[in-house]
Order: sequence, then structure tokens, then C-alpha cells
Amino acid sequence: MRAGGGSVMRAGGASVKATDMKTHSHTNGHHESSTELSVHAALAGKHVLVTGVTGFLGKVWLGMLLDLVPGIGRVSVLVRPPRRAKGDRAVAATARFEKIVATSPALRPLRATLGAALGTYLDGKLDVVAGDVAEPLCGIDAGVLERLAASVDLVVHFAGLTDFEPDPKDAVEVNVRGAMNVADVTARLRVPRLVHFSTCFVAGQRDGDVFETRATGLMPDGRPLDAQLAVATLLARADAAEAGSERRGAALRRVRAEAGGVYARECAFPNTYTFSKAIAEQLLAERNDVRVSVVRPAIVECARSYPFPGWNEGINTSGPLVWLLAGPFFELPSRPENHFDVVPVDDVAKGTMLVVAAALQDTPLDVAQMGTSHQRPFTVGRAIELTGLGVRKHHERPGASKLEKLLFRYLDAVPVPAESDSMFAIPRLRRHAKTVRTWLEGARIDETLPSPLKKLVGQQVSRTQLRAHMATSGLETVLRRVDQMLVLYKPFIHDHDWIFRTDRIDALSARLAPAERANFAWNVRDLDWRTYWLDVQIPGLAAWCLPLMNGKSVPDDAPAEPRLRLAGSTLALPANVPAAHGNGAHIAPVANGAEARA
Amino acid sequence: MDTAAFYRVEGAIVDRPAIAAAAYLVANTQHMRDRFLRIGGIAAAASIALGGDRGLSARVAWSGVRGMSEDRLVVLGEEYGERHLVPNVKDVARQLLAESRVRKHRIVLVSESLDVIVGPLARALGVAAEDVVANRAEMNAELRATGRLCDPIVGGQLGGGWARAFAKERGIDLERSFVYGASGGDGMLLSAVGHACAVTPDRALRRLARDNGWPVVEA
Repeated sequence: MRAGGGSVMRAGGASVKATDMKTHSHTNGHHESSTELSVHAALAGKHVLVTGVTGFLGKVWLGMLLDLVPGIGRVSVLVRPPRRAKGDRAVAATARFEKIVATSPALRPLRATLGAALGTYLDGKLDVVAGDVAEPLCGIDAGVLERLAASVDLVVHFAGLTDFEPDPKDAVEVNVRGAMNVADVTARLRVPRLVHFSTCFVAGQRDGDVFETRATGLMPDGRPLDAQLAVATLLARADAAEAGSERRGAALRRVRAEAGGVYARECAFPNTYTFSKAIAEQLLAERNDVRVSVVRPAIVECARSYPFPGWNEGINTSGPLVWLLAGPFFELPSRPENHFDVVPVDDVAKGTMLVVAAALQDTPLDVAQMGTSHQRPFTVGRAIELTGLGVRKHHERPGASKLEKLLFRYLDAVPVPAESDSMFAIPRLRRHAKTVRTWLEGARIDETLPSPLKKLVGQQVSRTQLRAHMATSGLETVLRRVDQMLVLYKPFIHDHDWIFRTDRIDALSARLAPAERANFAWNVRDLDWRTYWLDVQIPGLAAWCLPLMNGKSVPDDAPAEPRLRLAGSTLALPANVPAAHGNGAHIAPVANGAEARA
Repeated sequence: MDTAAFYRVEGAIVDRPAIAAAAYLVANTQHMRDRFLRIGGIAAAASIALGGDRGLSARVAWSGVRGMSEDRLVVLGEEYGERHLVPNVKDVARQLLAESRVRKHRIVLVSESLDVIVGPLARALGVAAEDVVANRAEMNAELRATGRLCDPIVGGQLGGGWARAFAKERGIDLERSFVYGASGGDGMLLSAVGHACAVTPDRALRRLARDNGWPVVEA
């Protein structure tokens, strides 16, 4: 896992021993500086390699970078070719990214600003690098890697698996080994700067202020954390659970995932995701061949303004909760007074811009948390109440049925203690559904009818009974899933009250050049939660997240004509072809399907 | 100095009394059990109002919002204003407001309701937020209503002292200003302003109008 950790390559092939880097790394652990910070100056002419640009946060940041920092020298994006892609990996990865550039709503501002000039602008700015963080050295072609190593100034690693309870094998592969593989690539750079994305919730099962300290080698409850042993045990637990189970397919994956979750909680982490991120942070902290800045966002949610208010991608953290409260579930086991640390994605993207600029100016932050609980607290209770009010507002619009209006006007979601067994409590509803379903399964209602009546309506009664049985079974399934979901969310809305300190990003932002404050300042203090939740978050989730939860899809933007075609990466060209730093056309508009390569 | 046109919202602009707004808010508290309990308080406030003490009635009615969050008051206030006040502005009120604008009067809305309820109405009528005189619910540190109203409380009976103080503060010439009221409780306010007018008045105000020679506008 630490391939490449022994030495680092400098430009010209000179090797520097790890011990030298160690000294360097220690002195660069955390620099406090009072000099003015300029994102534009720090990034001017620089070359960054970015992973995870197909994800929610990565895409917003990439769009912001290309849109608002036109002086950036070059951006190489690591893109995983689709799993089922045949033929050339680079072509497949390029095609995947091409679609994102052309159709992702996250890149609307970039497309709007540049219009037909998008291809020209990106000419010389962008490479698509085929690879996969889960593979050694991210699966990057050796020749490409060599060129990247000679040119890249900094790596930004967004890629990760964010499911709360994934199969431990996947979590380890992507979140732990993936981070190490990216660090291995970084270690080959002339100056090995890495901005690594983690999560605030590596704080684990504890309460109160969480300061921005590096991984300490300890679990949240103070026991020693041996990262390598933790990985081995996590995988072994999942394998043991699999061996002892007769389930197959998705059910078996659930068994493995649950076993991983149990071990994560034994180690005082809320779930496998946070555990895997904590292990990755620990392993990175143990490396001395890369200068790591760890960014820990809290719960990343809909954009406040960039790319546009409400933008969200995929099923995010609060989506299922809003889905739940927008349905016929009115009680949420939670502690209303606990902090609910939600942070808009564009605030994290701005903060990331600052962290990247600081790292490039060689005054890196070793850890920067990005949340709101410290400077603009929001609580679970307020989120529940505002969600209820937002749903009410939503259902007042034309198109809602009378029943919906009645229900949502008069039944508000309320927080209840986890042990609540009221008439609306999910466990009780599950019990009732099971009782009814079992009764419907065994009862022969038509047999109880008098003979003449049976002849008359017997068949109809049987059909109705069958329909009722199916409906009850469906309800039972939904309730089971809701119950499972609530177990996953319990640490975040009930068990723990974290206040993630954000002193460092705040201090960094205070250094920002006045002219750049409008675009990049960290200013969560001015968040108006009521406006954000009712006018941004709820409509954003309704547009981009809830349809996915209801099994529907959300539309991408229509691609503009002529279609953009990416030529892939010239980094893969033979050595005698000049690398396209500022002069190569990697993306060019192509008319009528004809390829245009520079 | 400016001239103003004071409009008593309850009666002159819409027929709905402030107590209806209070009832709407308490009927939509977050917890179901509170709704039933607090509606009882509204019934008590209504009976006090019928007894003639509108100030006490307002205090009792608005005490029902105790514990409600600022978020809920704002959202429900807007909902009530948009759904029940804005669509029910009297035609005669619209005509009078139009005349006030022609005369370049500064339009001031005076209401016993909460500011969060009158706000949407003011916006719909094009009245500046600073020209809305309404009650404000007192909030605690957790931004939950204490059940008390902030001083000064706008009750059913506003005196001439209030009108003079308001006019002095805003630089308004009271003698040249207009006022529109609808109930007997508005009598003192109407007496304090140069040009008073009764809009679809109740029996008490109609008598006062006759005695004082104020014009009466019927719907």
C-alpha cells in the first residue's frame, strides 16, 4: 500500500530520500501566515491533477476552477473508464468526461460564460487521464504518469465512496487504498502536494467541540488505532460474515456491509464510511513523502449560488430524511437540540480553492474542517421543523391533491426520542403491518361467507384480499427499509452532538485578497438557514434528489451543438511530441461528428 | 412635512379580525396536542373581545403562540397573509388606497396582528415595511415565542398620543393627513388626525362619525 513511499522523484529524475522529506514534512505540518492570499496568483500557470471530478463536490469545484480561475495553467482529470467499456480505456474515459462537460448542470455557468468558445478556452487547459484510484498508481499509464510527475504541482483527491455502509471491500479499495494510491502518484511529483478529502465525521462517536487536529493514531474513545490491523480486521469480519451466510447477491452484500458496520461501531465510528476515511487519514499521516492537506467537509448539501441555487447531485445525506418527512412518516427519532452540520457544496468548493491556493503558496493547512456548526449553528430540530414547513409549502402549490394538502397542512413532522413507541413509531407500524399481512396470508375470508353470498362475491373478495395482501407486503418492505435507514442516520441526528471547529479555513479566508472575496471567501456566517432550507435546499432536493429516491431519473442538460469532442490526453503521446502545456488543443468543437484534433 | 394616510387593517382593509390570524397560527403548531389546547385560549380571547376589552383579548390570543419558532411564525404568517388577507382586500379599500397614492400620501397600515402576518399584505399593496405598524411576538434566545408581545402593543384602541408620537418621529403633518377606521375602537385615532373617514363602520363608529361629521364610506 505504500508503493513509492520510499523515495520521491524530483524534476530531472533526482531522488530525494524519505528522511529528507520527513524533515520537510514536519516543518510544513501547519504554517500560519499573515500574508495576503490570492487564489488567482497562487494558481496562475499551475498544473493540478484532480480525482473524483465525476462526483458531486468534485464537479462543482472543477467547474468553479475553470470558470472563475482562468489563469490556471492546466487541469488533468483522472477519470475511471466505465466498467463495461470495451477497447481503449483512454477513449472510454474521455467519452465519459465529454458527456459531463457537455451536459452536467454543475458546469452550466462555464458553458454559459463561454458558449461556443468553450472548446477554445479548454484548448490547452484540460487533459482526461484514464485511471482508477483503486488501482496501484491509480492505474495511470506509465508514460502519462511520467509526464504528469514532471509537470503537476498539486493533486486534489475528491474521489471516494460515500455510502454510509458499503461492502467493506469496496470501502477499503476506494477510500483507503485509493487514498494511498493517490499519495503514491503524488509522491512522484517534483513537489508532492496533496489535498485529500475526508469528512468531519472521522471525529467518531463523541460529543462537543471537534478541533482541527491531524489523525492521532487513536480511536475516538482513546484506544490505539492500528490502521493496517483495522483494515485487515474489517475485511476479515466481512469475509467471516459471508462465510456464515447462505444469502446470495444483494442480500449477501448487505450481510457483509452490516458486519463492517458493526466493527466500525466497535471502533467508535458511526459507520464504515467514516471508519474508512479515518483509517485513510491515519495512513496518510504516517507517510512522510507527501505534504498532505486534509479537507474535512461536514454534510455537503445543495448549492447556495454556484453553479446555481439548489444544485445537488445524487442521493445526498439529507435527501432520505426529507424524503421520509415528505411522506407519511411524521416522527423522526432524533434529538432536536443536536447540531446538524450541513454545509452548501459551493461553500466547500470555495474553501477548497483557499486550501489549494495555500498549499501552492507553500503555506499549507494540514487539516481544514468545513462545516457550519461552529460559526452558523443549525440544529436537528430546526431542520425537521423547516422540512415540515417546506414540504407544506411545496404541497400548497397547484397540482397537489386535496388529501395531500390536508395531510401536510395538519400533520407536522416532529422529533421523538429513539425509544418512542407511539402510534406513529416505525417499529410499531412494522408490527401492525406484519400482523395484518400474516392474517391476510392465512385467512380464507371467502370461505366464511354464506354459500349464496360466496357465489355472488366470493371471487371478488378473494381478489381484494390478494390485493390487500400485496399492498401490506409492500408497506412492510418500505417500513423495513425506513427502519434500516433510521439506524444509519441515528448517529448523526440522535446519538452525537458534534461542533466542528472551522477556525483554520476562517483564518485562511481572512487573508484572502479583497478583490477575490466575492468569489472565494469562506462566509458561512451569513447563511440564513430559513431562506436556505425553504428556498434552496427543499426545492433543490425536490428537483435533483427525491426523484431518484422514487425510482425516477433527473434530466441532464441538453448538449449544445456542435458537440464537444475531447481528444483525450496528449500526455500519452510519444516523448518526441511536445507536451501540450498551454499550446495543445485537447478539447475542440467538432461539427457533424468529424473529429478535430490539434 | 409629509402627509400620511393611516389605514386600520382590521375592518378598513379586510374584514377578518386579528383573532382569526391568531387562531390560524395556534391551529398549526408543530405538535398536534398543542393545537387543541391552544384553540381553547383563542376561544377565551374571543369572548373577552366580545366583552369589549380588545387589548386584553389580543394579549390572550397571541399568548397562544408561546413556544412556536420564529421559522414557523414567519412561514405561517406569510401563508395566512397570502391566502386569507391578500385575496380578501375590500374593493372600497383598494379605491381608497389608489386615491391616497394620487394624493401622494405616505400609506401607513395599522394592525393588531403580528408583523409577519401583515407583511405579505403590505407587500401586495405596495406599502413599505417601515410603514407597517403591527405587533411583534417577543422571542427568547432560542428564537421561540415567549407568548408576550413586544412593546408598544398595538391594541384595538390606539390613542391620539400614539398618532402624535408616530407623526413626530416620521415628520408627518397630522393635520393634513387622513385616517381610515372601521370600528368604535378606532375613534380616538380618527379624532387625532385631520381628515378622518369611517369605512363600512360598526355601530359605535357610525355614531361617532355622525357626531363628528366624518364621511362614511360603504362597501
